[in-house]
Amino acid sequence: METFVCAGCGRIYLEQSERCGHCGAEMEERPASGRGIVYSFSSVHMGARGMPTPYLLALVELEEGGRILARLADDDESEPSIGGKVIFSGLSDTGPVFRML
Amino acid sequence: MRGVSIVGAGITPFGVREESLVALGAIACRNALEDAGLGPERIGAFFLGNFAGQAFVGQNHIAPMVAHATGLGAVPCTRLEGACASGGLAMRQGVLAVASGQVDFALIAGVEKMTCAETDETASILAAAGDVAVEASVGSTFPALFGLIARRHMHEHGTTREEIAHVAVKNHAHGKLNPNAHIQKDVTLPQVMDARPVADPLGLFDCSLISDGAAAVVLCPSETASAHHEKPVEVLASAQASDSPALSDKRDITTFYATQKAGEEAFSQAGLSREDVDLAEIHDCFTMAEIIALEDLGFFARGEGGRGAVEGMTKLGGAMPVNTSGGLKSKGHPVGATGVAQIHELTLQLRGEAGARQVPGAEVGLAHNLGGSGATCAVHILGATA
Repeated sequence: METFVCAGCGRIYLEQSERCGHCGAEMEERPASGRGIVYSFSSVHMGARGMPTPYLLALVELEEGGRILARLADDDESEPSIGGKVIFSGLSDTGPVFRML
Repeated sequence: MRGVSIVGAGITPFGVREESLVALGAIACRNALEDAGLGPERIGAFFLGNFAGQAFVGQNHIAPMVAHATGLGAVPCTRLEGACASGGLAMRQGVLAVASGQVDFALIAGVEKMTCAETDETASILAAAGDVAVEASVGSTFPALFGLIARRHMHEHGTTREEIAHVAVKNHAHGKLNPNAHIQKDVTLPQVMDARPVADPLGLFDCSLISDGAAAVVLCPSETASAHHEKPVEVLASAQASDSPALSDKRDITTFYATQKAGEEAFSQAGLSREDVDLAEIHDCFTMAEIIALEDLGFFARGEGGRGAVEGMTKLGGAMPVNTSGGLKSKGHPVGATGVAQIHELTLQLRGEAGARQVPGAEVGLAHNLGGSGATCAVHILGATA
């Protein structure tokens, strides 16, 4: 997993860009294991327009530090839990997706 | 800077309203001017809170439209947008305009018309109050953000689902006594606990209402206030603070830094302590949000906010009733109107005109208005005339 961390505000991105979309500072490439833990999660039953429900959202804390909001893959049988281990499984059209370990 | 007082307050009933966005604003403005016994020609500046006129009804630039409909003439008109804190920001700008001596009378209003949109469309419009690039794009809605916050608060501080649900029960019990509230009926604890899930752990009754409505107040210098109203209400503090909306930018999502900062600043301005506050209107966009605000403002220790509704301190009859209006939960949450409606409720209470929901002998009231997931916060402290 490749991450791009803003040198200014520390925001983490999974797609490369020259400057941070948030603060405009330059980006630094940072290899990441893709592993993280669930900092919090919610199963969304009434969602945003055009997004089929339910879906799992999680704030994931990466092993290397920093958090990103992501989808948790819903094809898992296991229930999410705070502190539960997750691993990056790819980018979808709704951003990063992690699956539970 | 000179002291500022409220000499007029007006509101429309909240709920599903037939009137247009602009007409709602104008009705509240006229009610406030009438309450102050002032003609529109006396107003020197107009500040209007509105979040998303364009997105909900296709109309922006509404401050001069509401002013024109109210007969204000050529006065400077400014629209303030700070998501759900838009009304609080309008109030603060009005306070500054009068305090600085720039104008002698300022009219403040807040308005939103939301019920014309479908629920999922509304969720998407409201999601733009968060950081769209890293939140809405992933499928986050405001209930989802507060679902994440609630779950973490429960995990870290031991707050229970029951404690969170009690906030809804309390605020509906209050709203039942407010003839302008959107929903004027009780809900039971099992109804809240067993409601359809929206973004777990939050269900339907943990969410504030999608409402139409407007509220307005008239401000003038305190030194001349008694000439315009027999019970002027003094603005003892007007504070505002900011933070990043994105949950991923926050070190701790169980607290809102902007609320802490605005609260500290407000208490410092007023020279008062938490014990001096007789009642508060707290931004309960979600049940969980009321608990967090009570902690952030220093009324409860971290993790103890849930006790407020359960043990009755924040109920009518308790030590510091919270959301006697019914709050966003029961009175309704026309986003841009909310911050001004909180001021309206405190004004009634501090005049002793709140009817069945009156807090006996109320002398000091606090209004807490939060924008988005804590990016903007306005806190006002008001005092009754001695």
